[in-house]
Parts: sequence; C-alpha cells; structure tokens
Amino acid sequence: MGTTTIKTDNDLIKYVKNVGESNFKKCFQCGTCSAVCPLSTEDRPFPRKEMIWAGWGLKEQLASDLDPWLCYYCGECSKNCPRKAEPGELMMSLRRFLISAYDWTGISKLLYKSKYAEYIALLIVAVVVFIEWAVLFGFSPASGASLNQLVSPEKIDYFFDWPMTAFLGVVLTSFIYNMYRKTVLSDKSVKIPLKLYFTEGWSLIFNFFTQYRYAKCDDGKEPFYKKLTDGKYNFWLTHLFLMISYVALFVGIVFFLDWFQKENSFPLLHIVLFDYFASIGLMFGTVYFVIKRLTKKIERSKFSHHTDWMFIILLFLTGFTGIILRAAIVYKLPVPWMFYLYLIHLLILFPMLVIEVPFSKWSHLAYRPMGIYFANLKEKAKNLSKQV
Amino acid sequence: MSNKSTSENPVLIIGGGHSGVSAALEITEAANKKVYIVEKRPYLGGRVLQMYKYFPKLCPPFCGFEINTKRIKSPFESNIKFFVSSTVEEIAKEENGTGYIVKIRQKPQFINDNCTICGECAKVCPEARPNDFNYDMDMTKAIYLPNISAFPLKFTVDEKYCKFSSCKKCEEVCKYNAINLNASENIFELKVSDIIFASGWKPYNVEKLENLGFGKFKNVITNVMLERLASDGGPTGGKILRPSDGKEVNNVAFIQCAGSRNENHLPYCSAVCCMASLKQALYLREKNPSSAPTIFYIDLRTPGRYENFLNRATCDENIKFNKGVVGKISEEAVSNNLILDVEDILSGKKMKFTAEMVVLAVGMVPNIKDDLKNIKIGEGINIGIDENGFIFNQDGLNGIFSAGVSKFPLDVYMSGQSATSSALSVLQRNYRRDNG
Repeated sequence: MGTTTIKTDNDLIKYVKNVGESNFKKCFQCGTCSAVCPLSTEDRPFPRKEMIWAGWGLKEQLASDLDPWLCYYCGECSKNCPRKAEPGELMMSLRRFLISAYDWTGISKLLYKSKYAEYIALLIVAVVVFIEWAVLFGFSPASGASLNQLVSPEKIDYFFDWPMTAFLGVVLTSFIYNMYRKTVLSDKSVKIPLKLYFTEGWSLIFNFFTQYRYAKCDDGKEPFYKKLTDGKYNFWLTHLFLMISYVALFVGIVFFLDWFQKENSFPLLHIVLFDYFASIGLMFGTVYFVIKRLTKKIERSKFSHHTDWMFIILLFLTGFTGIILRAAIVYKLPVPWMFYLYLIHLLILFPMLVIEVPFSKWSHLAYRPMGIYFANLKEKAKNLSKQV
Repeated sequence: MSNKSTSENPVLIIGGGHSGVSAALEITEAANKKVYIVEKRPYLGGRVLQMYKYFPKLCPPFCGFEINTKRIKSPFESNIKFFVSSTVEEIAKEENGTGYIVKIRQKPQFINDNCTICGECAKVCPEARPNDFNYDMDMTKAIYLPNISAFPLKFTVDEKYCKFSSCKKCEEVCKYNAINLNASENIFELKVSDIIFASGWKPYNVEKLENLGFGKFKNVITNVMLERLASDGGPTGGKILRPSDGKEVNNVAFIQCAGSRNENHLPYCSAVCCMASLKQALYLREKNPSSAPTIFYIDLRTPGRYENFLNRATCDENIKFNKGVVGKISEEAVSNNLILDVEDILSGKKMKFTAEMVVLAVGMVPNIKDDLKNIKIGEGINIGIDENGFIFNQDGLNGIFSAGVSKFPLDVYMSGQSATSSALSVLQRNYRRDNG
C-alpha cells in the first residue's frame, strides 16, 4: 500500500484564525454550506473543503485555491451552519491569507497580523509625502500666487502620481504573476491552451466592471426587477457605484490632473462625471458600508477586521478632503486654504493607495476579477480536454 | 433518623411510557413498595406504541409492551396504581418528612371499564378529530379507541371535539352503560416518597428548519410519521404511500440530523435517528421491493453491536449512503417530487438529487421542560433541568430521579436500562432512610 503524506502547517491555522472570526475548527464536515451556496458549482463546491483545509492547515491546497475569490460572502453558509462555524467568514479570512500569500515581500502578512503595523506603514508613507511636499512646495505659500503657481500639476504628476502609479503597477503585476504561478501553473492536472487566454479575456473585463457575481447571491426565482425593488441588489449596486466612481477619479487624476486644478476643456463632462457622479458615489458608498458594518445586520458585514475599517475610513477621508479641495477651487476660496487642504488630501490619499492597493484589502480589485478569470480558464481547459 | 411514614408512601412516576412502566414494574417486583403512575394520554405505553418496529430486532412494539401490561395486571391486584388522562399540577415538600405531596388533575373519565370496544358509539358519533396517534395524518371520531394496543383497553372522548349534552348519541347507543358524558374532572392529592420523571419526548418541530420545507411540501415527512405510514393501524393501512398523491414510493431520501446536532436548533445528538433511518430503509426495501432509499448523513452513529445492523443495511445494494446533509429542498411543480441540494463529500461534487419522498430524521425534544411550566413547584425542590431540557443530574438525595428521554436522548433498549437504574436508586434511598 502506498503512503500519502499530508503536510500540515500549524502557523497557517493560527494565522487564518487570527485574520478573521471564523470558528472553522468547530466544523464537523456536514456539507450544508456547500449545498446551500448559491455561487459554488457542482464540480468544485465550496466552502466545505476549505473548512477542512483550514482546520488541518493544508497550506498547499489553500494557497492554490481560487475559490475564495469566487465567494462573495452571500452568507447563506454561515446562516445555515449547524455548528455556527461561520464558513462565510472563513472564506473572508482566506482572502486575507491569499493576499498575503501572493505578496512575496511579506508586508501584507504584517499588516494583517497587527493593526499597529498597518498604522506604522501608513505613517511612513505619509512622512515621505510630507518631506517631498516640504522640498517641492515648502510650507509658506507666497501671497498673491495662484494654486497652480504654488502647487504645479506637473510636479504633482512627476513626483507623486506617476511614480506611485508605476510602483503600484509593478508591484501588483508581480503579485498577480505570483497568484498565476500558485493557482494555475502549479496545477499539473490542467494545461491551458494559449487561445483560451484571449477568448476568456471578456470574463476579466466583464467581472471587473459589473461584479455580476454579487447578483447571483440571491438565487430566488423572482424576476430581476422584483429583486431590484425589494432591495436585494442594494449591496451589489452600491459596491459597483463606489468602485466605478473610484476608478473614474483615479484615472482622471493620474492622467488629467490639469482638469481638476484649472479650467478644463470639457467643463460639462467634468462636472457630471467627477463633481457629481464620482463624488456622490464615493461618499454614498463609503457611508453605506460603514453603516452596514456598524449595524451588523447582514452576514457579510457581521465581522470587521481592522483592515476593513482602515480601508473604508481612508477611502471616505480621501474622498471627503478631495471634494472639499475641489469645492475650494471651484468657489475660489483663499489660496492658502487650498494649499494646506491639498497637503492634507495627499497625506491621506498616498498612504491609502501605496499601502492598501497592493498589500491590503484593496488588492481585491485586481485579485477578484483575476481569480474568476483564472478559474474560468481552468474550467474551460478541463472541458476541452474532456472533449478530446 | 428513620421516617417510617414517608417510606410507606408510594413512589410517583410521571409518565406511563416505556420507561415509566418499566421503572414501576422493577420497583414493585423487587420490593414491597407501591407506585403511582401519572400519564397524560388516555392509555399507557407512550411513544413506543406509535412505532412500527423496534430496532435492531425489527419486532413490533406490542412484542415488548404487551408483556409489560400483563405484568401491571389490574390496579386491584397490583402495587401499581395508574391514572391516565392525568397531569401533575403541583409538587410540594412534605412537612416533617422527606417525601412530597403532589396534586393531580385527572380529566373526566367519560368511559368506564364496562367498555367492550364494540365501536357502536364511534359509528353514531357525528364529530371528527385529527388523529394525533397518527400525527394528524387521518381522522377519528370524537369518541375513539386511541390505538389497538391501548391499555386500559377502552374508548375515550376528545373533550375538544365532543358536543356533549347537545348530542349524546353515543350514550344512547351504548349497550353496556359504559358512557357517562356528565363525568367531571377529578383533582386529588397524593403523598409520595420519591418522584421519577419519565415524561418522555416529542419530535422536534421541523417546520423551524425552513430550508427543508416540512409543512410547505406535502411529500416531506418526518421519521415518526413514516412509522405510522408503515403500521397496519396507520392512515394507509401499512402501505408506504406518499401524501401528495398516494403513490407507492421507491426513491426515498432520508435526511439525518434534522434539528439535532445543530446549534440553531438542538445542539445535542438525538442518539436514535441513525438506527431509526437504517431500520426504516430496511423495512421500506421489504415493503416496496423495487425501492431504493438513500440516507444523507453527517456520520452514522451506530455504537457497539449496532454496527451489525449498519452492516445489514450496507449489504443491501439498493440502500445508498451519501455523506453530506441536504442544504435545501425545493419542489417540482407537477410531479411534487423533491429536489435536494446536497454535496457528496466523498467525491467532493455537488448535485441536485430528485426524490419522491423525503423523510426527516427529527431530533428528540424532552417533554419535561415544557411540562414544568404548568407545574407549581414548591420551595426547596430542585429539579435540575439542564440547558437542553433534560434532567441529567438528578437530585437523588432528595428523591428526584429521571428515566428514559427525560434523562438524555436514548433508544427503547436503553430507556429500559435507565428505568431499572432509577428504580434501584429509589429503593436504595428508601433503604437508607429506613435504616438510618
């Protein structure tokens, strides 16, 4: 009889226990969670298998698992769990684990383990921004100068926005490659034909811009509009609104900063897209999620990790200071006010982006659609090989 | 210090089911001690009479219980005195003694021992009532014989449905002068030395398990209902037919732990359901030879020699087992078949399983917790109900004991053991008291 070696990792069990509030050790493998899950498929149901992998500390299986990215924490599993083991929360913890597993620098792991590490990391970035600002613009705005003379958009672009964007791009891409290596390349059972990468590309774009899996959380038979009017899509639509607002602002500011500081050539577009749509989306979305997390009425907002709070608060403050700065420019408030507001805005914005996007909660913006994309690739490749 | 007067008092046994009657017999046959049994139903025997067969020998319930009723004999010859249709109202400590004074309320006894169960009364009775013995799956008249093994063997009247003085047809038709609709209830006090709680259990209200659809879908039934469907005295005369269309069922899904081992419902294991479902799968195979039952389980708990019984079931190729319990049940529109969402854990695949009928292995809920709400308990009496409603920690020093499912979830065989144990405890306590 051949022997099978199962490698278990006690530190992993502790880590997963630490970064969430799931009682996965209480699980007795009844399978209720997988059976009630509206999102998991017949071939690879979750989260029952993840519960035992986490309970046993099976690092290899967990690190190569894409299913946490397919889970949207509908909460049916947690609601029906006879052991109150919170499988939905385990999937959340596993997403946190995966973020730190894809991150080869080890920073994510620190940030998830300790909130003080997160404070310090944010503070370090803020100090760097502060020093850069001191060198570039000083702290005593000359009287009579306009904002553009004091804080030139070119300098912001060259010294802040673009280096940061490049940093985020490089780091995140390397993490995504790491994810690809762990989840797709390591899986010897499937070989993905090159063609599929292109033909399945739509799912990447589609899921990034629609987050449609949220809508599947409710598998009731009512028609779409009925669910819409019943508020079953509120969470999904708010999330989508917030994310589109954010992406619009991010792209706008990084590539068209002029538009925000000076008169721009498309005033109507600017007012409608940024001043109204995106500003409202940012404020409404963040406040909505804060309320959900405070009231804890739905499963997916029942537990909040410190990184969840930090992310949403920073996002709110970034939006809030940005909107006030923009209002100050539009309504021509005294220039020194704008000067200092600008500094405050950057002191919040940059730490948030540099820390949260690659190393913390915000990375789900990339990992979620990539996860769905990779899972689709694997499934399609398997089906193809079956046909042959 | 001895207290002769207390020890001469009988023992009170609350509940005349298998445990209560067994305890009464053990006490009276082992010592010169009298026993009172207080039973809320109009007959002795309790839940076991509602079973079609016992496991593991697959014998019918009267097989064991008939012997017990023979041993009870009549109240005149025996040391056992029983009160049916009776409930305990009040328990107080006996002054200057170690026993108790108990107030009993006995419902009016409309039918006396002249009854020959000829059934003429039921023929003329115009009122109908849902038959609780068959879990409301059929009806009886308002004057009815509770079941074929009823002891005492006589008809009874359901006060809720009888029209009394405005009807009286049964009284007129009875040749034996057995009916008196003017009978009144009887409240009396008993002095007792010890109390054994043997008040049994009821099936968990599985309507609370919303995802399993009991009460919503006709073809989702409970395991206790299946016992009645299989019994000759049941609503289908012993044929296993499904409720929606009376079709003989072949593809039956048994769902284990319906309520049990579930922290949102009953956190404990009900101990009998695995064996019960195996038993039911086996007799379904016998009754409907083309049937193919599937048992959906978390893990099968068949301790000790019961494993032989499990082997018997697994040897039958038509009995399928699925590790993984059902998450959700929905109903097919026209066929009324049921679609089960379930994971097959051993293969790691999820599936939609279609079944003609679903049998939920419902958990056991001890009666005593609810019963105590209607009993006035005197000062200084400690009936140690635990968080799940059982009297696991009996107050033996003060003569409060428990037997059967009042103690913890157990099967018929073990309830006999627990009854013997409580009987022995009572006798030991009395011996110590009498002999200092």
